[in-house]
Amino acid sequence: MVFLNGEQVAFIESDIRKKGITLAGLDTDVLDHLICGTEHYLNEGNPFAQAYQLALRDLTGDEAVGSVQQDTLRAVRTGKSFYKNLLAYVAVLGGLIGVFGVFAEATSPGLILPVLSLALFCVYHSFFYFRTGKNPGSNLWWFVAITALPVVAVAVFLAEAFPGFRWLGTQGWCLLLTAVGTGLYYHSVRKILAEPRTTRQLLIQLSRFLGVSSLLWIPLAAYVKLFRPGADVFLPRRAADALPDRFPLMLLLQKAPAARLFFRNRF
Amino acid sequence: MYSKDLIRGTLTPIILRLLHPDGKMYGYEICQKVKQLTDGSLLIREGSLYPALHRLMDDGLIRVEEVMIGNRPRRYYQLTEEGRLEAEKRTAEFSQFLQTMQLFMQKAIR
Repeated sequence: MVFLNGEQVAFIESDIRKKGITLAGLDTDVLDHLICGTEHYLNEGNPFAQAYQLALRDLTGDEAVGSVQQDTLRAVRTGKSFYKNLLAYVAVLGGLIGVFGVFAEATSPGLILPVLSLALFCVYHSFFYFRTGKNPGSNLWWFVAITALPVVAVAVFLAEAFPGFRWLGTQGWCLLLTAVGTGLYYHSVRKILAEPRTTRQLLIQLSRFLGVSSLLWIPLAAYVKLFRPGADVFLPRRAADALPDRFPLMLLLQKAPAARLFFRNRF
Repeated sequence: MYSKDLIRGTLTPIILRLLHPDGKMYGYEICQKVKQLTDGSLLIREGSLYPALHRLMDDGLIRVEEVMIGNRPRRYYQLTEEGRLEAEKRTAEFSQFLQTMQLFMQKAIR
């Protein structure tokens, strides 16, 4: 059995560094791999230089050795895990859109949110397509989640432009959209509960579920809070007064202490 | 030797299966094991093994332990608790997929 000496190991170590393998951990992996491969070919009777070339060929074929590091970085940084978390990023962005509005004066109903959300929608689609070569619409959940912002924007516009859409109220819209989000994610939630999961996996799934729901109502709530403070855009006083007569369930809810607290500002 | 299209997507289940339940292997060993178990008919591209291993590590499914071999370290990979659950799931899913494909091929021939 032939083993590499210290000088040969140092040569390989220096060579892979020159070839672009510098990532901590990966350099140890590649060095060990090439040493094992070279020793294998040495034991078949090849001289060191040839054995090393054969081991390099086994590792990457015709591609440069540096491609291993590029592939590793790509896999770790922009792999599936990035897209898994993208929903959370977009939900945060939805909130930021509302915060951004603090510095803007809204003089016309519902223009800023639709424009920004549609811009985000377009940026996301382009980014996803050029990054993966796939249409995000091929994944129903992503499509629904990312389409939610423009949907919310349309809801804002309708509620402001047409009084007939105002009867739900801000909280009502938020609850409805959260319910829609929950409904959209129902199958996933059922699947999560049916399978054995660790606490970490459950928390990740839960955060994704909350991401979908919050994505639907955060922009709406932020918009009303920041652009229309106290303006009763979604529920004019007259409509609020008329609600209990039209909806006995709402009257019942108002009697409950928790519901009174919830609807305190509205009724 | 199988085509790249067939092998693509099987690397992660292969790694998880080899490390399941208490296996501890280093990269070169994984490659050799695959060759040995498949009589050389399944040759994974060795350069694609490390991105897959690092990705699994990033996902928290495997962890690494460095052991000194003479004067240099060697990185052994093994499953985490989460990785064990995932390995069971993927193995079951893969077996089911193979059965489905076999059934499909049989029915398609008739």
